[in-house]
This record gives sequence, C-alpha cells and structure tokens, in this order.
Amino acid sequence: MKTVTIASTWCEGCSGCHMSFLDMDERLVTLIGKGLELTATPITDLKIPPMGTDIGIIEGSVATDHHEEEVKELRKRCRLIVALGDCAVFGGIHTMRNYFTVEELLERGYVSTESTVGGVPPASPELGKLLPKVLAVNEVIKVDFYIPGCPPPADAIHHVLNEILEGRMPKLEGNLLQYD
Amino acid sequence: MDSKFTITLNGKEVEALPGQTVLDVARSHGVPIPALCHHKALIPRGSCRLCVVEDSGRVRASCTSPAEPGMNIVTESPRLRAAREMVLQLIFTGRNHYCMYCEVSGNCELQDLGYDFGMDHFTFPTYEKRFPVDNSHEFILLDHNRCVLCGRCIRACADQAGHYVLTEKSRGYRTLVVADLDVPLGSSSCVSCGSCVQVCPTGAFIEKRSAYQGKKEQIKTVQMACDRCPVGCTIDVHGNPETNSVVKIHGDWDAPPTFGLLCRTGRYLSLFDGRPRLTKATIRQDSEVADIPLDKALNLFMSRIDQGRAYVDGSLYNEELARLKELFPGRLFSLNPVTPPLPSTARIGDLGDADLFVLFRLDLDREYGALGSLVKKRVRSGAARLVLVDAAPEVFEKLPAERLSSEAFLARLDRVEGAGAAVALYRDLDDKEKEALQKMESLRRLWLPGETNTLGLARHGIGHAPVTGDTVFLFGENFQGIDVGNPGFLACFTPHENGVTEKAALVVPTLKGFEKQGTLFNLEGEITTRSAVVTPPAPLADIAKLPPPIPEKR
Repeated sequence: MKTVTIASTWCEGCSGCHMSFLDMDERLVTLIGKGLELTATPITDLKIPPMGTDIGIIEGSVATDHHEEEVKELRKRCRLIVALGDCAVFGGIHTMRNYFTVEELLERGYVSTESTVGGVPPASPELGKLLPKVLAVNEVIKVDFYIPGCPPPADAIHHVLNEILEGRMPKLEGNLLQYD
Repeated sequence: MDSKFTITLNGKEVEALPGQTVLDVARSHGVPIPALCHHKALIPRGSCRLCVVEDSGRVRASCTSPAEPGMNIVTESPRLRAAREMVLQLIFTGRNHYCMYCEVSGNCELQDLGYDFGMDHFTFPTYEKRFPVDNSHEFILLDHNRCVLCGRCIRACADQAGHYVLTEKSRGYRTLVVADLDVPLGSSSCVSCGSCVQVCPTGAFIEKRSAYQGKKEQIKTVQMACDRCPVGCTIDVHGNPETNSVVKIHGDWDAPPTFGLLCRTGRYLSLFDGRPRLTKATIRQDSEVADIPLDKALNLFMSRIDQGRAYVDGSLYNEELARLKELFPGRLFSLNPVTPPLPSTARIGDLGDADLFVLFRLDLDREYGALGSLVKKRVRSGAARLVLVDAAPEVFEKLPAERLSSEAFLARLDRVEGAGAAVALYRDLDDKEKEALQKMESLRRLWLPGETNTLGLARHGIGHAPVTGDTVFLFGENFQGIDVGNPGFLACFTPHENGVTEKAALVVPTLKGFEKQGTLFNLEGEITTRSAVVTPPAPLADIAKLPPPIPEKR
C-alpha cells in the first residue's frame, strides 16, 4: 500500500488547529489504514521530519526568526506544504501586533503592564527574535494548499487528507471553507 | 416612446425596461453578477468594481451602466473572473479583516464573496497599517479596519435618510468615512437613525448594544409596526428565542409608510429603556409597601372598579382600550388631548412631492424622526422650501429655512399661497394659526398626534379629562407631568417605575412593547399590527384580558 507521510509543526499558533486535526477522532485511524503515516509533529516523538516527507502541515504565522527558519526547513524536507488555519493562511490574529514596533510591544508586554514591577524584556539568546511584522506562511515559503479557519473544521482537514490519499486534488467549498 | 427593449445577455436576447441598469436586467433574469457596493435602496455608485461585465468586449461596471437597446453583455469569462478576483484581493488586503471574532461573521457580504470565489489565501501583503476605531457614539461603533469604502453609508445617510452627516475624506487607500467635518461620530450632527448600520455590508458599522447577541441562524425575525409614535414605521424585529430578547430593529426598504427609514426612538430607544421594570404587584397601606401576588392584586382591582374613574395614555393598544371600556363604561378618559386642532388633509406620501413645508414648533430630528427624513430629503434636493414657525435655532440647523415667529408667519401668508404643493405639519396650533390654516385651501395639513394611539383613543370614544376623584385608575406607560391630585385610592397599571407609582395604593405591573400583541391606529387612521416576540420577565397583567382567569390561591 502506498504510504503518504505527513509532518506538522506550529509556529505562532495556539495549537487549536492541531486540536481540530485530532478532532477527526477515529477517522484518523481510518486514514492511517488508507496509508497515512505521521512522522514529526508537535505531538509525536520525532521532531525533525525526514527528507522527502510527502506533506508538511504548518499551523501558526511566522512571527520570529526561529519560525522563519523552521518553515524554510520544512519546505526543503516536504514535497507539499499545507497551511493550516487562519494564522498560517492569512496571518491571523497575531498580525494585530503589526501596528506597533517590536520595541513598543516588548515595553508594553514586559515593562509597563499593570501587574509588573521592575519588568525587563527577556533577552536570552535562545529565544526567537520578533520579526518586525507577523507574516502568513506564504509570504516566506511557497504554499501548495490552504485550509482556512479558526480553527478549520475537522471535516475540512479530513476531506483534504482523504482526497490526497485517494489520489484526488482536494477542493474546499461549502461548509468546509470557513474563515472563522 | 417604446417601453421594453432587448439586450443580448450571454448570447440570449432578454427583455429590458427603460431606467434599468445592466445589473438590474441580469438579476431580473436570474443571471448572477457579484457586487458589493450595490444596494437595492440606494443610488448606484460603482465603487467596488466587482460587478464588471463585458459590453461588446469592453469591461465596465454593470451597476452604473444603463441598459441600452442592442447591448451585447457577457457576465462570465476568464478575463472577468481574473478582474473580479483581483478586485476582491485588493478589497480584503486593503484593510484589516479578522473574521474569527467579528460580530458579523456569518452575516457579512464581504465574507460571502470570499466564500463564493473560493478565496483561500491572500495574494498581497496586508495587516500593515492600523485604521481608527470610533467608539464615541451612543449606539453605533465605526471600525474603519472593516470598511470596504463601498459608500453605502454615505448614500443612505444622504439620499435615503436626508441627514447628510457622513462623507469621505482623503484619497486612495487613505480614504476614510467621516462625520461632518471629520469629528467623532458621537459629537456629530448624527441623529441615530441607524440607516448606515443597516446598509453596511461588513462589520464596519455595528450596533454596540446588539453585538454578539445572536448569530444569523439563531435570530427569528417578525415584521410589525413600531409602537413608539403614531407614524407607525414598519419594523423587522430580530429576536433571539434562546435568550428571550430582542436583539435589534431593522427597517424594510419595501414597506410603507417610510420604506425602511426609522429613527433613534424606534430603532434604539424602544430596546433600551433605563427606567426600572416593575415585575411585582405592590400594595401600599399607610407608608408601608408590600408585594402581593398578581392574582390577589387583580382581585382587589376588580373589587373596586364599580367606583371612580379610569384614565389611559396613548401607548395602549386597541384591544386594551376596548377591554377598559367594558370595565369602566362611561368612566374612561384620556390623560392627554385626543382631538386635532385641525384635522389632516394630507397623507405621509404627500411629503414626497411637496414643494413647501411649514413646521409648527416641531423638531423632527427628535420626534416623528422618519418623517423628518422625508422632509429633509426633499428640502436638501432643492425641491422644497422649508418654513419653521417658532423653532429653536438648533432645530434643523444645517438646513436652509425661513425661521419665523408665529406672528411673522401669519403676517406673510402670501408666501405660502404661491406654492402649489405645500404641506403644514403640526401637533398643536393656536387659534390664530388654526383660523389662518383653515382659510388656505392650497395648504395641505398633516396633524402629528401627540401619542402613538391617539387616534385609537378617539375612535374608541375616549375623550380627554383632567384627573379628578377619590378613586382613580391609571393605565399606560407615560405619566410624566400628570397631576393626579390626592385620591384616597390610586391604582396604577404600568410596566415601569415612574413618579406616580410611588404614590399609588395599588401598583400592577403590565406587559409592554415586544411582549404585547394587538393593533394600533397610525396617524393616517390605518390599523397597524404588533406581535409578541418575547415572553415577559415575570407573570404580568395583560390589560386586554383583565380580569384574568387565575383564581385566587387560598
């Protein structure tokens, strides 16, 4: 049986889209029965997908240099990239920080908040640096398929994976295409 | 002159009528063309460019193209598809649209277009520039991030509602819809008619106090007449049965008498009465006030109705008046005058072709607001002159008008004589005014009764009389300023606390507004209907069904 390997990651996301993925419930088992194979995801042990993974699914927008690196790496390792959820597809709610500078954000978030005394913006070298603007995934790498939603309905995610497993190009319409 | 003609629409000959645009013709034949800035009640503007069609190979907006004989129109082609998709992308990415928490998600024309087009990503960068949010207005929120610059609000405020508050400033992507000379909406000359909110295709204009109270599929809509004044505008009442509340009031663009125009009172104040609501019957003995069960209160009431006099205000429906007439034969009176100083000789429709309006001591921005819109539209278009008799300087201050005292008006009646289609609007007239108006046959008259169902009171033979006597029963909503004297027994049937309930020996809470059903007479003497949309917050008295069938509990 031909397998279809998928990897996934979440960037600037709330993991809601992955929860929606899991909301397929037992249909996930059926898809695995049809050849779906999970490799590296935030909820499985493997963290780096193998080269040549069939589908890379990205949740969340690109907000830090770490995210930028991660999505570019996934683009190299996966044949198809799917943007999952409004943040990955459009930029999402995080883009509300685009109307301020990074300095203003860090100051407001860590120094002048109502409940902070003596706050300091974190500066550990391990942390990703905030990009000047939160970006949709397609502004950084080429995206092959989009599943909008906040989160996308589990039915939409199931439809896309099922179509691919059955050898057809998926198309989202009707109840499966939602922006909220 | 020919009436009908034909055009070629997607290869087929179809019938067109003079005055129709290409968009009108296509839609009348069931041929879909996407559009956003188009609205059936507004003059076409052609701002969005989604409705483009090919006219003998030339791409043009169908909403602003008059249909002409011999036209060859194509509504679908790869070129049109590409153009419309580009337009949609530019509209979405030009501002900051977030569907995930928006009040109108699921009921948004921009979102619907995205779904229709299968739009599943943006092709231009966006979310870069913040646009303002104007939260200064009492009822209306204006979020410019969701604006698509369709201009419907501007057209509605101007041509539809006659208020001319909204306009645009600046250019290109920086264009903003502004009020007056770019002041916050809450400080502007806006009269809160709400037409802008109703026509807005997105969530740019939102009713603050209605937001998030029910998605489109949870809302049940019932059409009826407004009961806040005798104009009786047709309203669509949007209620949420799950929360037992009225979410918002909309107008119906096709319904007489005002064809979608409403006012601050009918659209907003009808939902938000700040007075405390009465839900328990109370009895007062000496200075002690105690709650009593409703059935006991009504039995007490029934035991006393053979004495004394009953008074009603003009808020009561015909069925309530009829019942009270049965209970108080010969002893039922109106708290307020019911007879006109002079009877009407005009109807609301006559305002639409008047060439002169004479308003006597009326501020049609604050009362009978929908009629105010009809007058303002006509004056603003230059088709009618306006004479304001005894008006305060701020009344209709943006309009060109002759402001005269009553004496000055009466001294120069020749001004009115010249007009061919003049209409006078009044609630009260003094004797000199009455005499003068009666003599002028060319001047049509529209009497604006002081209360919603004043004509109902008159039709039921209920005349005005001052409150007298030792046993007094009051029924209604508005007892402000009424002198009730000092009766030994005062019973008050009313939905809200008001100055009089504190003095009453017996207070019985009643149904109000959207809890009631029945009929009213509007100022044209036509019957209008009301339906109940919500259930009351507690067992309350229904005046139309007094006494109730509930037996007293022992």
